[in-house]
Amino acid sequence: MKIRLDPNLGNPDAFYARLVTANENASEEQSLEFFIRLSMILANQIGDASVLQACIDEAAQGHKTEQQEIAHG
Amino acid sequence: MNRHVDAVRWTPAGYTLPVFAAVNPEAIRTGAVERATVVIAGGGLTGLTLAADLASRGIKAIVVDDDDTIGVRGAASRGMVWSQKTLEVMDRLGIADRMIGKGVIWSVGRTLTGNDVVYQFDRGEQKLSRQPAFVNLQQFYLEWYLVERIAELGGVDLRWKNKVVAIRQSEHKVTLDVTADEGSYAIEADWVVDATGANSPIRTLMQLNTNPARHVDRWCICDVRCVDLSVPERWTWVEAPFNGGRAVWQHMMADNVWRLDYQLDPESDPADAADPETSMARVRSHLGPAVSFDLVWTGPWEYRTQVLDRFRVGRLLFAGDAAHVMSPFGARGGNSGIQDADNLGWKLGLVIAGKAKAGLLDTYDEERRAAAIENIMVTAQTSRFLAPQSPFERRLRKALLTLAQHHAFAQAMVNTGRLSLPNRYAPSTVILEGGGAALPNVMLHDQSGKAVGLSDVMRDLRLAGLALYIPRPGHDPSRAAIAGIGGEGLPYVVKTLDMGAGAERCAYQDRGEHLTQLTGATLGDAILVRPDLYCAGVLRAPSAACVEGALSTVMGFTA
Repeated sequence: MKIRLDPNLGNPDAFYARLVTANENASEEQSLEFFIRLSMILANQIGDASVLQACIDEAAQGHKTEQQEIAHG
Repeated sequence: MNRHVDAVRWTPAGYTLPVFAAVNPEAIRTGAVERATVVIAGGGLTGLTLAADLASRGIKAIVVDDDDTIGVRGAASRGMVWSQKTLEVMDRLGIADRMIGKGVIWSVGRTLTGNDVVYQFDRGEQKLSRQPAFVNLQQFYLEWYLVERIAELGGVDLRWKNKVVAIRQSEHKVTLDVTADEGSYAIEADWVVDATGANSPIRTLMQLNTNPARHVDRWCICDVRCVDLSVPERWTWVEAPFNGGRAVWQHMMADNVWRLDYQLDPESDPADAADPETSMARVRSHLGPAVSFDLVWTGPWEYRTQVLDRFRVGRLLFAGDAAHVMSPFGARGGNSGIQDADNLGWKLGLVIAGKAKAGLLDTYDEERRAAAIENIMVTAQTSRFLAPQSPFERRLRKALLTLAQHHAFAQAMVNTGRLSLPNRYAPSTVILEGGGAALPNVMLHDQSGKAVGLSDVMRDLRLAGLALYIPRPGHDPSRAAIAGIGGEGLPYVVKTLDMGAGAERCAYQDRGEHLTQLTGATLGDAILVRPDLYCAGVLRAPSAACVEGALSTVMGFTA
């Protein structure tokens, strides 16, 4: 399954700013919960299981990169 | 007759269960090797269902059970939620009304966290079956009804206090060494079904791999009798304030006995879990100070999964917990054992009657092993939801529960058990296009206008499959040839079905057009129905030769 990783947001800077604004007065814990809720709401917009799996796989690449960095010290 | 059937009785001191007379077959004295067509090892839920199923089809069987009573460890209620499919099977076998009369009918489930309901469902909506969505009843009642029904049906030799101690298999037979109270004897059987449960000694004797897995999560069942409350619904708490923020299950059963099941603190001492005082305190905190109750049974449990690599090994078949074990969430254990028996009974019957090749039994392995694997996966997802394995998983669940208070999509992810539904079977040598789903026990009308259930129709056919042909109104050139298929000596028949389009002189009318809506069949099509009420396929505008060929295929018929 190929997912969109090319630019698709009309105004990427505005979206980033919205995420920052939404978490401006939140604790780290509250922000973590915000992102969990957000990912679940976004997932429900997508719906398609194969797209969601490809998104999860792509995001999980981050875990691998971090682990490699730790391994290479 | 040395059968001694007493009743299940509730007394203020607890339940008394029937005790059956030990059976000492003649072969003990004569030393002769006994011959049998089929031996069922294990007179529990699965074994008794299979015995009743075979008896209902006119197939004789011997059942051996190492105990002299029903139930396990006294009045442990074990399985207690019976699904619609189970009730349909029991309707065919003749005891569904007894179960429904004794048990608690329900269809509404509520999931709570803290004091809020986060999710609820009603399985009673859009119900097409003649049976209710669920009935709660202690397993020993169901087993007792089966024992009595088997005696009524006849043809089954139920041997209490008979234990299989050795098993040998050749190409043509299985030999069992059995010990009874007064001695030992041997049986040579054409077929043996192992339904001896999760700790099957037969499986151990055969050294078969069960692919076991254990989990850390532990629970404690406290069955209490409480006449002050009446909530015929399924209530589950993900985080119950009265159980230290852990999960709790609440189900009403027969005799005003409640199944209360508490998730334990993983740090607590397992030895104390089922201590009566601890249990009383747990229930008191749950029901509040004003409600009076008595403890009926209490016992801790932890879940494990296992599944055999093959449910058929030559002439030996495995069913129920002997074949597969899953965590109990969603009532998939007992109900899937009954579905195993429902799937196996007619196939074994046809093979024994010489109407089908032994290969038909491989489809039992294919269908029910896939079902077991699906059930294990579904219950494993529930167990993981209920027992988060890391601080992050706990946080993930908390965020979901917050969303679930407002949004239906999140409510759908709150997983306190996905209740047992009949598994769908994949396309195979016996599942043709359009088939694979269980048909509910829909109400039809016969030619005299009398209401009949689909399970009544299949019961009357005993060992035959059915094609329901839907004639076109007026002159249908295919009708006469198709309607004439099957009959004497063949394991299939054709009946005509009017879907409200005005075809005359049909055997059955489907006034609600349920079967056509469920299968997508229309005028000129034929719906193939198996003896276990599964749809085996939908034939589109078939010729008579096509209908006969398809029926022959799905029933595994061999002339």
